[in-house]
Amino acid sequence: MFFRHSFSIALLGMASLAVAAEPPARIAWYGQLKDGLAEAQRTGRPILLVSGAPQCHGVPGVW
Amino acid sequence: MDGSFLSHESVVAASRNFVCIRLATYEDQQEAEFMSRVFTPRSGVLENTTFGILSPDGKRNLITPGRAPKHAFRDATSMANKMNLIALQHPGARQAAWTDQRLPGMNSVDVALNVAACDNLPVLVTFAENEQRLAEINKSLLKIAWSEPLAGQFVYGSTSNQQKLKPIPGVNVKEGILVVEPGPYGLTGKILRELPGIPTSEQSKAELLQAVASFSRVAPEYTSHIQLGIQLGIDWESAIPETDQQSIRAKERARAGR
Repeated sequence: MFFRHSFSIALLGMASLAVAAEPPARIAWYGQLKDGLAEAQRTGRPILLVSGAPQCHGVPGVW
Repeated sequence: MDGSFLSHESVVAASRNFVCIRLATYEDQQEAEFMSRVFTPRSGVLENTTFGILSPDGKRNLITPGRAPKHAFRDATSMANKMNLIALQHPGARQAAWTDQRLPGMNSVDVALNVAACDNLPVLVTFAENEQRLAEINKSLLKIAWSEPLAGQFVYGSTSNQQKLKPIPGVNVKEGILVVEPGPYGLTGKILRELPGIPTSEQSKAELLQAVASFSRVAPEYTSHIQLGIQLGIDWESAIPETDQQSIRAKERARAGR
């Protein structure tokens, strides 16, 4: 009985770990205009377009 | 970047029916000219952040563009609802998800490292000794890159010039895939995984998933990141001159210690 409970708890723990390992979904960004435009024209998908300078006060590593 | 909108679950889900393009402002002349045409900012010059939704040919604004999603929508849910409506009006949208024929790469390994540091994401670099082999590696990665749960989990860079890998020391093979942790300022990178040769889909997908799961870079605190960067003399030189006057003045003040 104890073994069966322990086993079930272990399985639950493993399942939780598997869920935790799944990264949160993110937007998949094209990083270059020519690639994204070509893909949008090919497939007929509308375009979500943003831009940002990858530096602040000249310091990189931050939007 | 307006993370509260762009990382929201409903917006991410809606984005799957769109081609999502995020450009590094001031890193490409042609892109800057396109952005200036599309967004026609009130200031008359390209500002350092822009946001819009365009028709598939890239010629029509489908919403009023601005500097950020918060200028166009009340909240992330409103944005997602509008995106879902736009997707319904474009027959290509729903059928074409995950059929992409290109890797979503940045225009250089340098910029990929920087953007990855900004996003707090790993970089995936494909590299080879010539363009033909590089194209083969990139093609073999398409189904992996454009699938759940790996879509959007890397910033991509590609090169057939070994010199471009200089910011990433310790490369031991002539071609393949590197998963790289960007340095705090995105100027260098540390190899987390090295997958030699052309990837096979299932094994590579499993390895890349493990790499994503084990990636644990801590996002820097904004103000101390900037202050230390200035103290260290770090000054990112964009490919073309910055034109956003507000940003230029802020940089001058910060660098002068005001």
